[in-house]
Amino acid sequence: MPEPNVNNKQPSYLEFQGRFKGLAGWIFSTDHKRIGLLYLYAIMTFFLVGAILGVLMRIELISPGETIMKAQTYNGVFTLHGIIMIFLVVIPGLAAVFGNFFLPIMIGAKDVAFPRLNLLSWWIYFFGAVLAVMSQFVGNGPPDTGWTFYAPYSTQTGTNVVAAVTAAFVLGFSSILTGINFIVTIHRMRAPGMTWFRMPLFPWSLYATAWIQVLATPIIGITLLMVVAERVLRIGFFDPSLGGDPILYQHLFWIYSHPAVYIMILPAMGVITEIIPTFCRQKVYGYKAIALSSLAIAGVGYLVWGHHMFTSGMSVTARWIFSLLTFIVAVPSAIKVFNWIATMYKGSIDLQPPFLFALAFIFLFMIGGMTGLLLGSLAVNVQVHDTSFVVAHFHYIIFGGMGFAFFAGIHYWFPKMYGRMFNIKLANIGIAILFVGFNVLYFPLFVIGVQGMPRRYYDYLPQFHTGHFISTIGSFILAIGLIVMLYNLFYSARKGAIAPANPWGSQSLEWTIPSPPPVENFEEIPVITEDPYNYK
Amino acid sequence: MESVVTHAEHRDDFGAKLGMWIFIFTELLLFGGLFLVYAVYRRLYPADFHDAALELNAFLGTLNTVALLISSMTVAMSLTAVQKGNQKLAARLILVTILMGVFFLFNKYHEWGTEIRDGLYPGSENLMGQAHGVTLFFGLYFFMTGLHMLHMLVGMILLIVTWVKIKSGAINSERYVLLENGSLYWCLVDLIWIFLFPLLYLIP
Amino acid sequence: MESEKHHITSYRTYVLVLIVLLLLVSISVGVTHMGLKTWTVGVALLIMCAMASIILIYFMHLKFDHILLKVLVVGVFLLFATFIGITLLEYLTR
Repeated sequence: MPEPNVNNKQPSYLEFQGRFKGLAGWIFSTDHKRIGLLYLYAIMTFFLVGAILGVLMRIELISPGETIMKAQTYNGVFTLHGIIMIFLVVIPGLAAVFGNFFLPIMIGAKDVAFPRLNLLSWWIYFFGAVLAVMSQFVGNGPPDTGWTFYAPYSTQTGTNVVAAVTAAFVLGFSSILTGINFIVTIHRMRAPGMTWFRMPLFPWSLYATAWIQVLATPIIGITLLMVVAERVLRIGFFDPSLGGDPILYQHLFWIYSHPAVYIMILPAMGVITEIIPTFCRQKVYGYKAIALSSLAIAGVGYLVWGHHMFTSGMSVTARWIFSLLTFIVAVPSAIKVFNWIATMYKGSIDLQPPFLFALAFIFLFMIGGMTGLLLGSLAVNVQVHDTSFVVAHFHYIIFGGMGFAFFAGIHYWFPKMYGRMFNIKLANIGIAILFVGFNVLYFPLFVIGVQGMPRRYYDYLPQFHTGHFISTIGSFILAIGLIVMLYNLFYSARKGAIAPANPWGSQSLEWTIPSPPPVENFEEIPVITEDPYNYK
Repeated sequence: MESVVTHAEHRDDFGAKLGMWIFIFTELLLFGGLFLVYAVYRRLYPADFHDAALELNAFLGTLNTVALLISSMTVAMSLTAVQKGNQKLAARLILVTILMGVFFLFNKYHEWGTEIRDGLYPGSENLMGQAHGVTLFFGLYFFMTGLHMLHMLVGMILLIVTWVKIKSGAINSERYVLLENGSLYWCLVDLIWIFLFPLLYLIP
Repeated sequence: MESEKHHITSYRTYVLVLIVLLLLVSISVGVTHMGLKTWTVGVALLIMCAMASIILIYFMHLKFDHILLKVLVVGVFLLFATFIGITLLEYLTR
């Protein structure tokens, strides 16, 4: 095991006094670690807002008919929930928080390639977020299109779509700049001796993610600009009465938004891949397969966007081609799952909170992935398209996958980020509540979805009542779990016991430096002579 | 591998260029989305696209193409000049590039002016009354050339910065990655026009 | 690594390249007036691609640049071709 170098004389990044004091010392800092935390706080805040909106929707659906809000309000709430959760939380999510904080440390660098650009990305993110929130309060009422902004409705509704769309455009710009930064960082800043196949797997997943961010986001950018132009100038791109084709909007939208799913899930898989070998004291099984499957997911993921459009009126030939490609993209995802499980085999497993989160991730992600295959097969899809089956599926992937990986990551790296330990018992209780609440919340949606409950509906027939009722109870349990987890983290960040440099006994580079890390990470750039995950 | 010393002294010209290239990829794909839309509507309304394209001023279009090609050459040449230590020539070449850009925008201004006078702008009553394909063609024309002009403006600002830095000696034969990147960006603007020009003006 | 000699392109090369590009423009303008019907589009697209490649190779210095950049540029164009290809396939089979 590499010996932690505790003799580093530099002040920690939390204490370091730069050019500015107080808050300005954070929001104008180009230190990748501080920027990572800025993203963390922003994302956590928006996550809470989105979660509250989600609970409000669940309360509305606890019984048929109007419960706590009007139908139009409900439309606004699910749109805002979608915009916040997708564009403000999960797309930047893991890459912006843990990517920023740990990518340079894990490849043995002092910072990212373009630190000032990094800060700019955060500011652009911030302004995009402000714009997104503003779109709810200015103009003619909050947008009611859903986060997908489907044309032609989005070009015709009287609500404030332009501001929301512009916000998404601005956020895309931030995502692109982060992507550029990470690609260049990984290409140029790896420590001496760290060849591509000696790089840890979290940076590998970030590399694949960054390429998707860079190569897919421009397509949504131009599409959103077209929606703005459509509303302001009446060009007719997506307006059938002017000869435009709304299905073309769906093509353009999903050319980005399907790969965007991989922007969310790839770094999540990367985090899980870091956690599992650490707590199994075992070399990761099939290192190259995991590394390359990230690239494979990124590559094939570009070509499957049509499976969101099976009932749109797309040609039959295109439908089965997209269906086939969708099945292919499941292969590299499955490779990862098999490799994680094989890594655990015969390992000396230490059941710590991050590992429990990782196990929950695997379980939930598998349900999400399997139902994804159901949705990818044409015949089934036509039946359950736009039902709550789809809602359950993508929440299992995005929340059960990406969300739980985020929680896993924050528990795993918390001692490094803050230099303090959280309460392990409380964390375990939180995990149990979260896991139960999650399944109670989303599993019934599969069932009523198959029975025919459409998504995004404000009201429903009596036969769906039981399902919705159970689901709402689940949302309360989930909320309690979140409160327990967040209380533990907030309390421990200030008052927790002082953490050692390497509390989990990991072999990765980030655990060789003091907790919290010094300003420049390494006193001396390390020279890498071994493969990562060299346990035993 | 490069030797990273400290935050302040870190300099990586190839890294900077790689970053610029990746940014260029995003720009290409941004316009790529528009080309995709163009391709689809051209396939749906071939006859209308034919008629509409005939209304554009192919002479001005060709003139602008030539201007941009020349400007790409001058901006590329200025790099050679800087590498050979000829700052004065480099600055002049950048000026020529900027002037070519102004010339392009001037022509475009006239072109748009005529078309708007003829009621061919998106949302005009005249255009709404025309066949679907014609409406879409002019919508695309204004959107694509408009976005392209926006990129030219950004490119020109970038070139003005480079010009100042060549003058002040901040860009010199030892240190010229900024010029390289500015030149790459300007060539990108040209590259996009190379695709726009035949699709809009030439193949009715 | 990168500190090796940067290739300096001569002024003459640039002028020659510009002449070739201008020739290509005049050909593509000429072709439209020859009434080749359906062939016009093909020829124009071909010339367009040729010009773009020349600009990439010479004015944007790909010829003497790192292999990584060459691979990436080709990859991006292929990716875009795939996007267009799949989308058009959908429209052609509708």
